[in-house]
Amino acid sequence: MTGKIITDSLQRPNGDTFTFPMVVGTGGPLSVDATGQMLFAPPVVQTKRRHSTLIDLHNADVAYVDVLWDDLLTGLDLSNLAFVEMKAVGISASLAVGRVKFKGLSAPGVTIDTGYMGGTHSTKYGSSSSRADGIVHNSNQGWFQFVNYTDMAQTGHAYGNGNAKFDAILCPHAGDAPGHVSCHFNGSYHQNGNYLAPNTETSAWASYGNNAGPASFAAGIRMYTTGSASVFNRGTLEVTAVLKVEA
Amino acid sequence: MALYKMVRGERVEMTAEEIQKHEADQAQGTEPVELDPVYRDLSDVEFMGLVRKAGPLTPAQFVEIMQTSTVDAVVMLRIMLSMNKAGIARDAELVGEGLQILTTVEYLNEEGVDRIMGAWPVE
Repeated sequence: MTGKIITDSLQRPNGDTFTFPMVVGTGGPLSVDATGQMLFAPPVVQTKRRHSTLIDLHNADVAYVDVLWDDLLTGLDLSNLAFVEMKAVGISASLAVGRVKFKGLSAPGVTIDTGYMGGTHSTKYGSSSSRADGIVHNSNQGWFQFVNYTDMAQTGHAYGNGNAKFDAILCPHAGDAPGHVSCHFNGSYHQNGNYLAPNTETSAWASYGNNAGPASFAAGIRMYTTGSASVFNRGTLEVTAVLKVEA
Repeated sequence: MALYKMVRGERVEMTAEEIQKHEADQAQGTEPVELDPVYRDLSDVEFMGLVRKAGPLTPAQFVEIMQTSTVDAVVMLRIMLSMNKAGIARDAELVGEGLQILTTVEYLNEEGVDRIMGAWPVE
């Protein structure tokens, strides 16, 4: 059985009177449309400064990972992207010829293949108390990488997986505020050798002299393996966009 | 063998064209940067040793410069060296002026100066 009660207000004994709205309105969590139907107001959208995505590479067997800014927040582009954080844990690949390399994406699936970047690294390696420092450049090929001293071990290595962990800050903007395309890494990894303890590496990639750097990473970033037929099969990557204006 | 990529969190098989491009990317490597040498500051003894060996100077010339020469410019150079308390940098005024004096009085020639500057020890 259905029916209706016609009234314009409700009141508990000795309580306050609640009066139903008599006109169309949308001023609160409840509203009334033109037909008199009571509606819930649309949920309030919470804006945030940081938007991220998590990529699980365990048994993924992928040659590269493309992360688009649009994956982090629908419609996000460089105009509202201050910088990007990348955090990786336990990344390694199927072959020992292992570096984790990056290129910008000018459009989905389209890498930025030119642009000088210079890289400086400081490494402590796990075979002894020795350290190795070095400065390299990318031959105007647009990429940068972690690690820089030597190759990481492959997944399943007798002395441990490559196990790249890094905390990186990426500036995807070329030539305007806040600066050239650049990336700074703090991290560790297991070297491809019979070493018990991990290597540590601090490295920075940025402009190389007065040479033109890569174009702005307009659409996103690609992370890929080195070594022919090597694929990522272990680890987790989190990519976070830090916005200029909350959205 | 099929290769896969991850795009928007989804694992997708790569096309032959994408595999070819990826393999070309993988083959790219670093180039070491040639750094400008960092020259070490020298003591007075090291500086005069460098001048003597690379100039080169004969023992007699060395003794004249350091002790017996009465040529004003050479005596001034001796005084400047004796007054110097700090390390001698490669681009210091004392070096340029001192080698010019030794060239003027013909203990050195331009090639000898180039040899001295070229043999300056680095860090």
